[in-house]
Amino acid sequence: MKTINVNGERGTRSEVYALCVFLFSLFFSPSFFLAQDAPPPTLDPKVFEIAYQLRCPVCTAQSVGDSASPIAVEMRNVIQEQLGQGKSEKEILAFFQERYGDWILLNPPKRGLYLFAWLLPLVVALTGIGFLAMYLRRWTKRAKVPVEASDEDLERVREEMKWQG
Amino acid sequence: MKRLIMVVAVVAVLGGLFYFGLTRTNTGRSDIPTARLNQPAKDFELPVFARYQGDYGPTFKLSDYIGKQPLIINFWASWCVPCRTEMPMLENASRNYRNQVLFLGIQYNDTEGAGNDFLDEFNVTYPNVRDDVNGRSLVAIDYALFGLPETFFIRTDGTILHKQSGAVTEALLEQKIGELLQ
Repeated sequence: MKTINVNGERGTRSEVYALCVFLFSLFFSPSFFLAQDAPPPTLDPKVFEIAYQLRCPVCTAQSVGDSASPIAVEMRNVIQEQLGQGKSEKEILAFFQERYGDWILLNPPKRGLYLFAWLLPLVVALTGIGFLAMYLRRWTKRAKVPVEASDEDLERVREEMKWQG
Repeated sequence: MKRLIMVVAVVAVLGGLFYFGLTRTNTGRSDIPTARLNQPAKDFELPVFARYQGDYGPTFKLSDYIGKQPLIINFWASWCVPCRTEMPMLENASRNYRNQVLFLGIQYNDTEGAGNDFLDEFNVTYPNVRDDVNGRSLVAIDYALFGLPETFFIRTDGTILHKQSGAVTEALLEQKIGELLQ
């Protein structure tokens, strides 16, 4: 039987403090924050791997994996079920593509006009490298051209170099 | 001079893109092509609101009605403002074409009680079902719903003639029903 006395009260209070400290430290522990990004335990992480590749139909700039909208939740359940039926990632993506079209895929398919989206960054990067190479060649060519200098000028350069150590 | 023209051209292109980005509106769902257009409408079997069960039974199976007449399927919810706007038009059209076109309402992402109030408010006479089978709403995915309301115009052979994202208008209803009855 528990008796209530001064010591007992202290003990109860310290238990509350301990609980507060525990909850406080839990809040600031890295695992608390990491848990925010982790998928709910009821769904396989593979579900989210696929869901992140699908555009949420009722949201703006959110994937099915990120959205809490009812349709996104339902789509994640469908993915889970289809994985359970042994369907591959490709087959599951094709299931949604058949209904929503290519629009549903966050990574556009590598065909037709969509190739433009994939190739444009490469073309821009190659053009940039080409320009850089051209300018570098010009600069090195300029550096190779001999510069005429009088003895006086050369002396001044030597003096300057002495100053700079 | 050549360099100046190039700089002006680049600035003009970037400025144009910037202006486009600033002024464009949110993604319009109606401009997204429907993958299922001219494809057979996916079959479903959904629970019928109690008030229509006398004529249609406890569940409505789409394939039972394909081949008999064209169908107009409207997805709605009681909380959806455009759904309220279009409901009188749909009800009116369903009365005008009672024996020629079958109208079907599908309540999505809503409660049965709120749905009943909505059907009372607009005195909806055509059958309505709930996309809710054991808490799951799979028909919305089969019909690639982007939002509410959405209306599907289905030919007698079961293929989808048109999908309307957003509220219908009387003119659109007349035009599409005309096409369905051709």
